[in-house]
Amino acid sequence: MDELLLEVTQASFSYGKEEPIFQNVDLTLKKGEILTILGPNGAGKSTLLSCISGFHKVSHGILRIGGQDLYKTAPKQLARQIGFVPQNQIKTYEFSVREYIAMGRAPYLRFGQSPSKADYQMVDEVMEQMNLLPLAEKSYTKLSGGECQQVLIARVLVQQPQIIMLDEPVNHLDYGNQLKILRLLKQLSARSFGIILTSHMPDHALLLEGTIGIMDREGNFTLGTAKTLLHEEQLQTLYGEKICRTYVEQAKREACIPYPL
Amino acid sequence: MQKKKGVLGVLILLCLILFCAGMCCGRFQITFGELAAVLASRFIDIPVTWSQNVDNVVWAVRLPRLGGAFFVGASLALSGTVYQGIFQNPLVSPDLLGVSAGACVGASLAILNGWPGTVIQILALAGGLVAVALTNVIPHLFRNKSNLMLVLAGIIVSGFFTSAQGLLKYLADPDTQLALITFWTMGSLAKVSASDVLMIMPGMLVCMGILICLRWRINLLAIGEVEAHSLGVNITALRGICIVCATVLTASSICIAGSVGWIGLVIPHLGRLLVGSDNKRLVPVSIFLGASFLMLIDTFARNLSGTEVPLSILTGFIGAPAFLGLLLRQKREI
Repeated sequence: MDELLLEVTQASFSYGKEEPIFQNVDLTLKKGEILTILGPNGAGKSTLLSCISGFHKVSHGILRIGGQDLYKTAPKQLARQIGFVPQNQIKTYEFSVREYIAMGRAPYLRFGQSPSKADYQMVDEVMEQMNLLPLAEKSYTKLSGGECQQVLIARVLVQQPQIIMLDEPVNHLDYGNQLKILRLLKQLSARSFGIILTSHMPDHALLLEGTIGIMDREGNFTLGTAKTLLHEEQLQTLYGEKICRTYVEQAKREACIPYPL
Repeated sequence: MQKKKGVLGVLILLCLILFCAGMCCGRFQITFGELAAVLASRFIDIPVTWSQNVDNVVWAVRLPRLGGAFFVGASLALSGTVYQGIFQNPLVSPDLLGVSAGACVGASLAILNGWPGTVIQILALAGGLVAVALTNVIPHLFRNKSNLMLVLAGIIVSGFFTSAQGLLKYLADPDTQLALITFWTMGSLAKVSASDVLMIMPGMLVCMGILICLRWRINLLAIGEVEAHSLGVNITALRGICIVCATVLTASSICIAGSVGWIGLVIPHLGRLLVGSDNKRLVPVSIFLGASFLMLIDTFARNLSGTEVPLSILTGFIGAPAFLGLLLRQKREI
């Protein structure tokens, strides 16, 4: 369980000669670890994920995946190691859920190949595990927010990566679905996937019980745990509001709660 | 979304029926029996019971013409499907992206100079590629890749090339070349010969083959760049190959039939209505749907009145209302 999946050293990124979006990012991710990245809007969380997915290239620093330089890894090879759920989906065409999930098999197919029966079998298995079979023929443009997020995660699962990255996976979901997706992520980490997600809610980081990364408005990144990072002072600078971390007896867990308005 | 099986089979059958109907109909009526016999006579020994005229009409006139209609219809529909997929935009087509106008300018230039067929083909292809490249670049300038921006870019590029086309018409000799170019920009298969069809067929078949092989991958481009990249897709290479193949198909069609509008826009939408958005099923369906449509239109074009009706007039009269109907049916938010 202790295997190192990802190692980011002194990474920074800027568009051309503009101010850096983020700088001096150091982080590691082990098997079964959940890293929740918190930070205000526009801090550069999404750009960081985009760099780790290989879509953007960091301006400085080294990214290693499975010990190899991430940017020297062949795209297909990289796609077999990192699955990415971006924040916004382009939903132009009405692909069925099954067709959409099958696209996750792309890194295992040659240039002119389409998914085989075996690939679709794997798609069906994953859909069964996640109770998505009733949606199989539904158009993915017509899914609810929670269903859509599950379908995206299913697509990433048939990709069979070691790392799953999700950009604000519970944003825009109703409260019940937020918890449902977080529980799913927790279960996936128990299956030894390394998980990186971004979130606006410090409480989500506590619920997921993993490592925490904070990216501030200037794009500086700090890695730590709930104990070291989620204290009142830090939360005040991060969100400009008074928020406390406290043990809630009834729920038997620590929670981040704002003070009365 | 229901899976409708057997759609492709029905369309192939429809293609065959329309082919036979097109071969039989015309000012010179031929019965189906005669047609079968004339076609078979080149391969097996059967006693000749028909006049030489029938043989001529079948082999030298109608077969090249229907062959041309088949390939042009299939190519335009296929390239429209591919463009719509890779640009993630169901509102584009060879016409709207400026490819048709660009190819027309290239081809007209060659016609005006009296250059041979291969040069017409090469210039049409070059014109088409320049146009699609320009259309592709404009949204990048604005860092805005919305559907609307791409359509606007297409309008700008189309507008420019249409003016260039106008200039070429203005310079053309009104007695000989002008009528030829004008008639040709409205689309016609009237002057298609067997050698024309044979000239464009290899390129078309190769490009169709490539696109058929890549049809599932077009889905990956259709769900967006970030996602395609995260799935290990070499976006630049895949999109490049698709654009070149689709442009070769459009330009080759324009070389023999002039510019025939609407097919590349309407047929992919109709196909999606029949089999859904998965390009794995949509691509073959579009090919046969486009081929059937143009064979039907061309048969009308030469039978409706004493003279030939240009194809674009008919495809526009049918395509525009059909497109409106499809949009209403899909209730797309645009």
